[in-house]
Amino acid sequence: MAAHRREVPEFSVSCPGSSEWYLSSRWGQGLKLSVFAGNGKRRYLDGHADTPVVLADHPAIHDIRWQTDMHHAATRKLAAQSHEIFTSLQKHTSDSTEGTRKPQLVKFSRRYRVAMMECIEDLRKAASDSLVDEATQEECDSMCQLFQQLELIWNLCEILFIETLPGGVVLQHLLDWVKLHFTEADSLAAKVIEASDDEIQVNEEYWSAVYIYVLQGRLPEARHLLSLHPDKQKDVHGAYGKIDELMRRMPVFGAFSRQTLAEFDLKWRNWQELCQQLLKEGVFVSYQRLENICRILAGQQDVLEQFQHLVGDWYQLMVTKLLYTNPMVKTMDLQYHAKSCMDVFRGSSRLLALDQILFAALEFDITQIIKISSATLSNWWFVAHMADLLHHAGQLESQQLDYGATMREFLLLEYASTLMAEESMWQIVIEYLDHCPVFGRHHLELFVEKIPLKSERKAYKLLKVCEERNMDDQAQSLCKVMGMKALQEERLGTALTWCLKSQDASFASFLAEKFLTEYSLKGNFSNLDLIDNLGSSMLVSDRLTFLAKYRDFHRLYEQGEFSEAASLLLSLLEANLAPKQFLLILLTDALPLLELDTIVFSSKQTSQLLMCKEALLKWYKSEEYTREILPKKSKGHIELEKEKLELLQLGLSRNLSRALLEESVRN
Amino acid sequence: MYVARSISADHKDLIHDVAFDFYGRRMATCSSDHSVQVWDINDKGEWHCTASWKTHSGSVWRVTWAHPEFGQVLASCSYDRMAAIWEEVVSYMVPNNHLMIILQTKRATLVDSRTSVTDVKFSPRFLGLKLATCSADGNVRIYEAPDLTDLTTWEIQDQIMTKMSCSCLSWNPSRLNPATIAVGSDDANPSAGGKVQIYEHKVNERKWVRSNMLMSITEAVHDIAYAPNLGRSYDVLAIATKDVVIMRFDKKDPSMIGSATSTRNTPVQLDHQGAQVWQISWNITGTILAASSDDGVVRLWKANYLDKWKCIQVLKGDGSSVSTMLVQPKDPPATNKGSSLPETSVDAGFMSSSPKFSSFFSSTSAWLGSSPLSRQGRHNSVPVTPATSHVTSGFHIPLK
Amino acid sequence: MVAEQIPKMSKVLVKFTSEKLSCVRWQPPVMQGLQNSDTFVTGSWDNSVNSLLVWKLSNGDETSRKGRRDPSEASRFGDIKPPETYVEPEIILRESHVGDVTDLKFAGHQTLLVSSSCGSVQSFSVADDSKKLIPTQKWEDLHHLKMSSSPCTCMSVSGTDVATCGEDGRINVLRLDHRKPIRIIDDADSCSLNAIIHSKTHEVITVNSAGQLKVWDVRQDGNTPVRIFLVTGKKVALHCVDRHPTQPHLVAAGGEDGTLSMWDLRKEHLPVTLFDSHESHVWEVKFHPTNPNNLFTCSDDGSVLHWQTKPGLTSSRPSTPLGGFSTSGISSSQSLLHHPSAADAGSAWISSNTNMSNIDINHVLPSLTMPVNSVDIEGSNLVCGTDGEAIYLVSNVFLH
Repeated sequence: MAAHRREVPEFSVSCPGSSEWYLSSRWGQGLKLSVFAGNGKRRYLDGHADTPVVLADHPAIHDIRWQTDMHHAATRKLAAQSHEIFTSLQKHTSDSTEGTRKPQLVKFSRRYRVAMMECIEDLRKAASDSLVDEATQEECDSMCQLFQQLELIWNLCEILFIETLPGGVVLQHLLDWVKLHFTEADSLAAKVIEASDDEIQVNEEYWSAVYIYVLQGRLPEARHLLSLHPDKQKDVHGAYGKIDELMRRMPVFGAFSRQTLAEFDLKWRNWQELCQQLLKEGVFVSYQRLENICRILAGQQDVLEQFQHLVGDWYQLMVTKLLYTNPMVKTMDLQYHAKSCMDVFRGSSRLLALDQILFAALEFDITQIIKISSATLSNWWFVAHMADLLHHAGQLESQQLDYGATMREFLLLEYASTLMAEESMWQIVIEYLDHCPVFGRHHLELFVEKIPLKSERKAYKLLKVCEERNMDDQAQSLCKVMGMKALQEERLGTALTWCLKSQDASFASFLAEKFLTEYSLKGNFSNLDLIDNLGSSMLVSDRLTFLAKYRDFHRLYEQGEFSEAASLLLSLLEANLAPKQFLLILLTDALPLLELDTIVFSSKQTSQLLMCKEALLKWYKSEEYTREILPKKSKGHIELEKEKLELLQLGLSRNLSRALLEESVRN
Repeated sequence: MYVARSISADHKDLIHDVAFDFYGRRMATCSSDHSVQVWDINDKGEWHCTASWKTHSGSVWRVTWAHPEFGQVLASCSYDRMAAIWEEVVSYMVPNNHLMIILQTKRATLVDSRTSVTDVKFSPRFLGLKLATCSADGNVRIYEAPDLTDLTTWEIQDQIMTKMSCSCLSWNPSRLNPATIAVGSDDANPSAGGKVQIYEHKVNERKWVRSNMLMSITEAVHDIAYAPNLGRSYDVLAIATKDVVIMRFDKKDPSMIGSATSTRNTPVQLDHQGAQVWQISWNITGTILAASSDDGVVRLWKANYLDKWKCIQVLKGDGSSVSTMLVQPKDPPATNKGSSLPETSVDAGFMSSSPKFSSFFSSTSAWLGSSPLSRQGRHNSVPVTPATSHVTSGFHIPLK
Repeated sequence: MVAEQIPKMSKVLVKFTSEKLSCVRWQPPVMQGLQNSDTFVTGSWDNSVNSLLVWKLSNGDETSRKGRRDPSEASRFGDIKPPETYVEPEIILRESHVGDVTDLKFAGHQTLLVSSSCGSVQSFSVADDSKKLIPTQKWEDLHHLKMSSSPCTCMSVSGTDVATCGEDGRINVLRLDHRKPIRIIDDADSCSLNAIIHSKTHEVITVNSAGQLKVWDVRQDGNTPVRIFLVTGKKVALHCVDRHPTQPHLVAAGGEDGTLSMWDLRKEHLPVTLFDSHESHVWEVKFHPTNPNNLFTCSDDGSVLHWQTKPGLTSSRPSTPLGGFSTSGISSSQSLLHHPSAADAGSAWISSNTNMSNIDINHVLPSLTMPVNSVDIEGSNLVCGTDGEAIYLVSNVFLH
């Protein structure tokens, strides 16, 4: 296997200053590179670190992209369609039995080809679209040609590797292959027929069409065209009749015919002997054209050389030659015939990539097909999908790489990375990565995090992707990013919903604290619709639980259920859920309850309240408070607090005595 | 390969670094003109500048984004011996224009370095909000924001004396290792020992400890980058020196993919024909390395499926239109290592500027800056003479 | 193009669009109820430049496809050959759109409203042949946050009034010929509002990301809803809402966990019935406008479901009318509340004995891998748009 050498492609960026300051580059998402001139570090080492440079122009940054061939509208359609085929192929083959596998694979292969044909059609339309500029037209045209070649290769691979014919008799399929891709004869014939009124115009084009039909083995079409020849009516020597008869009688070996190879072989020999005999008898002597046809049928080599210009290319010549000299050729022998035909057409000149790929296919060298295709076609769509299909067909020898991935996986990863640059194709990228068993997951983890979260809907979709794949870390991060974004926008409610999704306790506490701060500053809560309906989600963090419970307290109070409110307040104070700075607010909340006509706090509860108050006073004396919090409080604020505490003391003592009195009365 | 678009940056001097945010949708540039610019993609898919402000009083070497989990946070480092942390606080829509104007506010200035701060990098997300800086005098400092909601406070977690003039650093993105940093040195003396050192954070000892010194790297190193972690059983470190050197280090976790081979740990040399490589960068999946060298080209390197490195593309600058001019400095800095700065070049007012928010809006140039000192376009108004080419006060045009 | 014969009578047609589709809507016919519409509009999302497409159904046959492929070749593709005659949708207009198209609504036959992820709403007048969209009015910046714009998520039309809601938790009421909103409810919701629908002329229903359904009287001042309904104690985001065309107190909403909830707004706060049929986000829910015993939902799991109440509420289960894709994975519904007053016509949706015997659920499409974002039904024609960059047109949907 000769190493496939190629030169490293060069790309020139028109960037002022690059000769002096060189180029630097940074990666963007996918195959995107930002290139700019400027290298301050060198200047720094030269000892001019901070000497201004005056630029004649603003420095420029150039966005460079490549392998964007799947981003065009037409090819993108192919990407979407083939993605669907790809995913159903992965599902299908996992649950199908050996017997049904082959016809299904052939079906998949054809679905790929239908998608390619549609793409070719769209590209052709785009290339002749007068609304787009010339450069785009040219680009579409070259992509169109590329995909035509790819389809040609794909079809041959389908015949050789997927259909794998019984007995290896392959000719009929090769004929179909040629017929499908080289339709020059059809257009010539159509032209001739269209141009003629009553009688057919017999000209070079007419005969070219006839010859090509014969060379491609499309004898019914050739016969039909010949029957239109004006001489046919006055066929004095019966030459037209005889050639028609010859063509009609040519034996065809079909995969579904009942005859054995030996039977066919016998028939074939007889028929070709007949051709030779007619030639010898000179039946077509005065009909040069018909004689040529008969010589083709008889399998004479020299006449093929004469018609080389009509044959097309070496692979068409090969099929023609095989048809008329060796119709029972086995797939394994194709390479020998290919070689000789290639010599005729290419001689010593350099082989094109297409030649090499087709030849490698005929040699059954799959690795080589993929190697040359990846190196020369600059399109990963083809190799990735082909390799995957061949893998499912069991044709891809698993070549273990150093770091463990198979060639299929390597190619799928390459294909996926060409799609990454087009931001909106992330869902397709993800599904391809899903089917890379070794490295897919790691690529996925890196990639998923990098998908921009432009709207909540997109974030939901992405979150689902993470959850389905147990990518907890990425899911967590996504929720955090969304929460942070909402926080920056001061949408605390939204931030809290994202935080609850990921059960992020510390973030929840932080947000709860924000709500509480807001309350202590403004005296009322925002986002009540959310806080009041937290349900079990409040349990994510202590602070949040406190917040929700504190709201419960407010509700109970508003509804006049004072004793429930009182005991809830007390339990909140004692449970130590509240931030220290909030304790005074809680205690102050007890004041109106203490002022009620009925006693809601029992003597025991009141003494508990007193203890909480003492704890607060103790904290006020702590170093933490005096050093960090006290300096931030205004004088008025401190006065107010003091006043509140005094009121509280008063209320508590009064309540204690009232409660004790009442309790003693009751007892 | 094609140029999708070219943006004319509004910088008045060379651009030193371009940094994409985590999603590749925002871009920050920094320049010798002391400023940083932030670029966003508008609805039509074009880049436009949404913020431009003076960040330092010296060339800004590097700019970098924190993970979006921590908000929209940037860090920059400069020849003025400082690193600074910036946070986006207010943005403003210009009606009918779909143009967003964003204000950045300085959250913190890290003034610990005595010399030029040559690189600044945020830690991988899973380590929290940490920042590493390195400076020409050989100090690597690791800072940490203890309160993620208040970025004005940064504590030094550790300070490492590398005993070499540091030029670049890189955090290891792998979660499996202890926190690891690789540091490179641009000391030109090949006999001064290995130019790359690797430090690990010892949680128990609460300090950073040198775990490796690459003795094979003796030429100056200008950039260093760990490859994104792809689940390999080894870490990949790219080093920009003479040529690019790719090093592999086995991870501590044996469950990872790949078999141990004896050739594994031999460094791979990516041939830049002996040219000095200045800058390297990995693509997001760590499969392609872009390296720029002083033969004027950027080379793209990729390991094929047999793990052989190949140059897959060369980018050449078409430098025919050379339009740059270096102005003669009045007096070159004291040493060419930048180990000390002329005392006068430190703008005390700028250093002490508090993180308080201040802004102004210039309707003509449609940009907003947060620093009270900033004014773009000064080179146009200041005559270019040796006397005014100095870093300091010449640029401080009062606000209108 | 691939056409697949799905259940006996309906036909599915697929068209790839090269864009992910966020929304599809039929244009109402000139004389509603008397004729079927042959025009629909689609909007795309997530591209740098998105687009609006106007499609028209044309009656095609095999001859119109001449030249596409050698007819003799078609036999080689036997199994995927298109049917002999069919209705083929053709794109007759493409219009580019700034931001994601988040919702499309028709106000009457001739006015198309398009909402954007940039927070704006644009109205177009549709030309008689549908080949032209003439912009008539644009409401910029209806939905915005402190620092940036916020997506407008949904619109609802009632006469000439249009209510919009957005991720900013705001509700706007627009009048078609007014340049400014006639009513703005700031901070209507602490969370993102995901969908809105008019229940009466002055009453709208919204659903949010915290699993709440709220009823608003837009004439009332202030930002408190008339009523709040909840799904469950769990916070399940609701993405979409629709009301019964003839019984406006019957409301269906789809949630992020794949459930479809039905409320009787005259009753309790919790939904009357919960159907747990999709595996993931229900993106749109739609009662058939003239045949409200039929309801359609589409989901991120790639499925489109057709829900039908059985005529006569018989206890025995008749054979599935659509055959084919009757669901296997549908778990039984949970009847949360027992509801004795199920006697009203059409209330089979909320009847007390709602186990599955009263409602048939069928797949409309073969299962897709990509999310289905939008579904719309007109007469017996159903169209949906997917992230697989395709529209699926189902004709002859069997309705009760």
